[in-house]
Parts: sequence; structure tokens; C-alpha cells
Amino acid sequence: MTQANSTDPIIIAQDVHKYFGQFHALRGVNMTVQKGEVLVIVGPSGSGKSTFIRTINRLEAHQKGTIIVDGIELKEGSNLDAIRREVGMVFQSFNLFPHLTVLQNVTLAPMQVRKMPKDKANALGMELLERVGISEQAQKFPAQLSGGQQQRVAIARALAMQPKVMLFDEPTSALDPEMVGEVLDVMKTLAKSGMTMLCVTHEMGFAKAVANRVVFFDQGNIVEENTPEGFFNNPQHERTKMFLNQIRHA
Amino acid sequence: MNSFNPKNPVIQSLFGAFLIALVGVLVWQISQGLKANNIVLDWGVLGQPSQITSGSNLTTILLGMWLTIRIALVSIILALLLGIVVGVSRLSSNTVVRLVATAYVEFFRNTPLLVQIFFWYFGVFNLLPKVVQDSLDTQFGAPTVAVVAALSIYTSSYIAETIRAGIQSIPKGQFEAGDSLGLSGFQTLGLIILPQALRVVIPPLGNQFLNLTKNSSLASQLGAQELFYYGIQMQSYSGQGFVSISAITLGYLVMSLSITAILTLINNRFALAVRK
Repeated sequence: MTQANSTDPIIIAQDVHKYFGQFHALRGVNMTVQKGEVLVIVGPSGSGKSTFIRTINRLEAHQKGTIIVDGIELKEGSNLDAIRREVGMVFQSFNLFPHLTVLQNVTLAPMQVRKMPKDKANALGMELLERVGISEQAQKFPAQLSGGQQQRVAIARALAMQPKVMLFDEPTSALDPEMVGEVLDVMKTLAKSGMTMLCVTHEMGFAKAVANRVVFFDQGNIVEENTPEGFFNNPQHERTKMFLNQIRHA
Repeated sequence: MNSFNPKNPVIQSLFGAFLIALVGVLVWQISQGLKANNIVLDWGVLGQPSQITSGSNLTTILLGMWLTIRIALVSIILALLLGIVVGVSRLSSNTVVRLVATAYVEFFRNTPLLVQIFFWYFGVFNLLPKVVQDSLDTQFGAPTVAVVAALSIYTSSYIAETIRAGIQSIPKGQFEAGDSLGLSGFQTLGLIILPQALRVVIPPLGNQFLNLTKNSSLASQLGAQELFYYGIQMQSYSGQGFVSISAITLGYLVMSLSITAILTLINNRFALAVRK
């Protein structure tokens, strides 16, 4: 591990197994994430990478093993809402609320969950929209924005809960190529601000620029963990080499 | 040139002329029938003093309409609220809740409304404590109370299915976005899912509101003095069947078209930006 000397883990996953009916989607995943770490998770489709980050805020329940987030174990009956408040998530398909304005999308959770007064929530919302470069669109509805703008709103919405961890599930995969950059720029700024981030993405430039570690998933488990330089320039496993060849020649 | 283009002006005018001719034949037939049976249409009867209520016969019809409107309005609100609760329960992860909601829907939409009206009037109402019975009867009239109960519950079973379909039409990602922000299940449902689902189901909900309003004419069977009841009374006293039925028909038409207009306004106001 690259940060073996760090002793402040915020996520600990041990022997995590997940089944979809008969399908064994996660097969004993072990992972520890330190506070402030930026992880990039790559792997072929169906390898379990998205499923794994979805177990971290329990959008998917695991059937075996333990996951501890910020000191709270995720299991049946634990206070899920409390954990989800600390873990922000950005989806491939944005999932903005179409009936609310951009600003209302951002302020909904702080007002409803954190019971923040409206004027305070609006100020926070505008500050976050400013940060993702979209404050002039605050009163529009999501459908009136481009894909890249929508995804930046989604990032602002997740940040509004002031989470300790941010999960990104292929945040640029549904975007037109010319809009990928604007979303990655926001993510890079966020990474440099010290946010703990787990990003499922195949954006190698992003991984090289800000990741502390790259984790390669295949067939429901981690095959290789490496520094971005090591991963892309000197991969250790045959499976990793094959995968990198494929995405480079795509 | 296409020999059968529906937009061809010649074909269009031929079709129009055919329709006008058809209506003309019908009117002529009816007038012949009225003449043969020595029936004289007297629209002036509406202005004559009513033998049923104070004022003219028109006043009687309007009084009936007023009760119909009140029955329909209260029942629509109750049916919508009940329908939302039952529709959401149909999708509950709790098996007992889901089964109870399913039984509710299947029972109330699979028995005739008239039977349910009688069930509430002769069955349930009579089982209430005497004090409650009397106070309901003096305040609203026992038939009205029974009819509102029956109409609300009967229609709510249909509305529940509409609401369920609306909720199921909302993408899974919306639930996940709510969950991942730390909103409770109720908050996600109330703030994110239902506001979108209700927008989707405004047109089918409108159908149910129209059905409910027209079904309220069954209240006449308990003697509730609503539009159909008073219209038929007017017919008995005046002997003007055609005029009376026309007045009743027009009354329901006005109410139904008003509901349609209001729902169209609501639909336009709340349509999602995404669907514009």
C-alpha cells in the first residue's frame, strides 16, 4: 500500500461478498482507504467495480464480510441515513431531480436532513454552484442544462451535505466527449482540496494527475493495486496488461 | 395524385356534408317522433315555479348540481388521499402492508359501486353509535355521508393503481439519489418520487375524477337530493321528460368539462421541464 504509514482509515472493507441471485458479483474484496486518499478504480464491465462502491453507501447490501465507514459498520439495522450523510455519491446518469431547480437540487438535502435554514442553505448552494462554475444557472431546471453542467450540479448537490467521502460511479461515461474535461476539472480541484474520493473511471489523465492509488478489478475482486505511474507504465499482472492494451487501442 | 389523401379538401368537404346530413336526419326523426306522440317540448318549464323546492325548476336543478358538486369535491379529495396511501402501500417492502393494500384494491374495484353505496348506507352507517348517526344525518344527511364514503373508497382503489404505476415509472436512479443524500424513505417518497409521479399521472387521475363525478348520480338511489334526483323529480311533476333529461345532461357536462379544464391548467402548470 502506498500510504502504509498512515493510520487514519475512513473505509475498511474486509472479505466483502455480494450476490445478485446466483451471480457472485463481489468475491471477497479487501480494501482500506485513508482519509484524504484519492482512489481510481478501473476494470472491465461486469468486474464488480461499480457494485463495490455502491456497497460503501449501501445502495447495494453485501451478504458477507464487513464494511466500516467512518467508524460505523454497515449492516442490517445500522443507521444508514447517518452513514449516507457522510458519503456523497455522483452517478453516471446524474440523477438530478427534474422537478426542482438547480439550486433546489443542491439545497434539498441540507434543509431536509441537516435542518439548515433556507437562507443559509441557499447561500451554501450558491457558493457550491460557484465552485463548480455554474452559479448563473441556479434558477434553471436540470433539463435546460448540458450533460456536463448537469454532472457538475450533481457534484455540488453531493458536496452540499459536506460529506467526508465522495463516490464517483463513472461520472463522465454518459457525457459527450467535449464535456468530459469540465467535469474532470471539478473533480481534480476537489481531489486537491483533500477530499477522500473513490472514482470508478477510465480517465487515465485524471488518474495520473490526482490519484494516490489505482485499483484494478476483475471478476469480482481486486487483481492489482498500484501507484498511477506503476499501474499504467509497469503493470504487474497479465490481466492488467491485457486490459490496458484494450483501453489504449479502443 | 394520391386518390385517397384524407387531407384532400374535396374529401374533407364531402365528409363534412355527410355529417351535417346525418345530424339533420336525426333531428328530423326526433321531431317526427315527438309529433307522432303528441309531445310538445316546453323549455319554458325551467322558468316555471318548482313544485319540489323554492324558486323555479331551474333553481331546483341548480340546487341539485350544488349537492353533486359538494359530494364530488369532497370525494375527489378523499379518494386522492386514500389512493396515494394505498398506492404507496402496494409497493411497500413490508409484506403485510402490501397484502392489505392489494386486498383493499381488489375488493373495492371488483364489487359494483351501487352495492357499495347500499353497503355503507344500510350496513356500516347503521352500526355507528346512535349519537354519531344523528349528528352526521342532521349535518350532512345520511345518504350523502354514505355516498361520499362509497365514492371515495371505490374510486381510491382505481387511483391507487394509477399512483402505483406512476411511482414505478420514476427511474430507479431518483430513489438512489435520495437515499445517497441521506434522506429518509419518507422524505425521498414525499419530496422526490411523489411530486414526479403525480405529474405523470394527472391525465389518468382526471379520468377517475370524471368517473367519480358522474358516478355520484347513483346517490339518487338513496334519495340524496343531487342533480339526477332533482332532475327526475322535475320530470315527474312537469311531465317534461326530454327537457328534464336535457337539463340533467347539461349539468353533468358543465361539471365534467370544468374538471377537465382545471386539470389541463394544472397539467400545463406542473409539466416537468424535461417533457416540454
